[in-house]
Amino acid sequence: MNLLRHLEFFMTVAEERHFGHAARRLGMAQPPLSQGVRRLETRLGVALFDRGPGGVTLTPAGRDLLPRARALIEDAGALDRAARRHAEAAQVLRVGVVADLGPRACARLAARAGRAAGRRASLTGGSTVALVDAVSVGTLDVAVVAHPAVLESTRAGPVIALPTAVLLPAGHPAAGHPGPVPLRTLRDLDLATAPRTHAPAVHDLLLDTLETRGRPVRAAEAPDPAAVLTLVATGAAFALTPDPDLGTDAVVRRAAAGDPVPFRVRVVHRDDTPPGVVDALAATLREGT
Amino acid sequence: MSAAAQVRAAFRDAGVRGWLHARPVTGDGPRWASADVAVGADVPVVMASVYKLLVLVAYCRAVDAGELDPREPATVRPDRTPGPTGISALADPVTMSWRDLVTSMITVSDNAAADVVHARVGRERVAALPAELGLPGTRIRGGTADVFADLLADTGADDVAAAFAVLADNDVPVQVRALSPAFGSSTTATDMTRLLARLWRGELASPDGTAFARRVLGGQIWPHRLRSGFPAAAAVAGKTGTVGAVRSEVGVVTYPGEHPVAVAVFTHAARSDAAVPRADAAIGVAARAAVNALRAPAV
Repeated sequence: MNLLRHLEFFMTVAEERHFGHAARRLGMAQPPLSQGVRRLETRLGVALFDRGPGGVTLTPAGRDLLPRARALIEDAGALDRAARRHAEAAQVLRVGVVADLGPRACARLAARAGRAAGRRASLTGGSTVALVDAVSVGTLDVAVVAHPAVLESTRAGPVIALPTAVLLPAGHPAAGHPGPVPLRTLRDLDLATAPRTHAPAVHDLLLDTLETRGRPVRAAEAPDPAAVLTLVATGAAFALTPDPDLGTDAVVRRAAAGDPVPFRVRVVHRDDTPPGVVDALAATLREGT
Repeated sequence: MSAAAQVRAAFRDAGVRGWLHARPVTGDGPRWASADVAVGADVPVVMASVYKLLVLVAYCRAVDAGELDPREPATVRPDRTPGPTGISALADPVTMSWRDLVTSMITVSDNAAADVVHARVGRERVAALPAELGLPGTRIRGGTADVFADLLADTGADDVAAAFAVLADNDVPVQVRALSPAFGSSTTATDMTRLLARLWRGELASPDGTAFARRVLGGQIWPHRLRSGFPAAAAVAGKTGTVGAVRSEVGVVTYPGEHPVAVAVFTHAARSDAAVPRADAAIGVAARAAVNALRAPAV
């Protein structure tokens, strides 16, 4: 007999306290349900229900066995779900890319990685800290994260320095001149950047670098690229972005004068990441946009 | 939030990987002996200058055994191990007693003093000490001069300063033996608190030797790691270890009228920069969270 199916009969009748209602919920006729419950009682060697004139009630044995039946059914569901996850993982390469790179780069990186693995790719955005954790515990196969970051138990490829551009409010005096913007001229603006908790070491290194260059800044934390743009468009902040597409009305894009302020990234992966994926991601990052 | 969760949060906020163990050195009742705070406490970590603690213990035991006269003068020639402090930083021959060399080795992490004391007490004696003292996760492989030789070989640099500059580059993370516990001297946070607790209880040396060891560890000058986590009333004795992005300190924290607590904190920063003040401070923050969970009045 299909024990799990029969335990489901048992559980449903116990919940409905009525064979007719239970049969309707299970989408079957009442006689086969009644026969099924009897077969289960025979198999277990104990009566599960008292079938009195007032309805169906659980016997003491039925009351004791009900939670065990429920646990078995729930575990069977969990088994199915876990198996489905494994089956999906075998077909899908789960790629993470830090959101700062912008949707075009994120999608291209994920697609190239998938092609290198011969699988469909799924993309997860998010903070560096969250992506490293996900690769570390195995819910992602590979991720492009900001560097420097604590790598937990992941493996890491080379550091790649992506060029950045300065985004500044169109109304700012420095926007009036064409050509590279000296960062010192943005003294009255905050720096719109991802919250420090997204990648503490990256955040600290950027602020230290700007301070070393004579441009100490206050960070205005923006959880995503749209929030960064909003701060710039409203005249509150400037931003440094590796995304060549990021922009909107009243926002001007310029190169930074002097030494570049790169956005450093690194591919983090697992021992079992399919071969070729890390190299494909690194090559795509080096191509630029 | 549990003490271990606070410790993990401190490490994450500072952008470091961290390993910590804390345990009471002494205590009342049956519960104290098993109390501890552990975060990755049995994972092998790079020792760096923390190995000088083992050299200190070996020295105290050699004095106790009558094999070494602490007042005997020793002359250290200028071709000694380089470093920023103590006689490492000096240019000319130096003559001082063995106990003063040990004091310099611990209080200012003097590399040259450490290597001559290490040679005097015997490298094989120091290497055998972890097994003798029941520290299964600890291996001592050579001294500071050996670490520097590996560092020059791994970075292709001509001198130690140039090698450290290579380590400090955020664009090119280098794989060097000095930053991996798989090579060179390594230990675990648990081993270091076990060693400190036994030393503090007087189980490793004579009363005079124990007092000397506790005094020089209490005289360590660095305020930026363990010390930074505690108020002035707490006595903090410790030994730091630093190489590239690796920053650590192990020590004993004692509040007046309370049982001392041994704590070992090892970190490896994401940033390669030669100075990461937040990483230093995180050692104090993590240690404070752990020690506070274990504080108990001495009855």
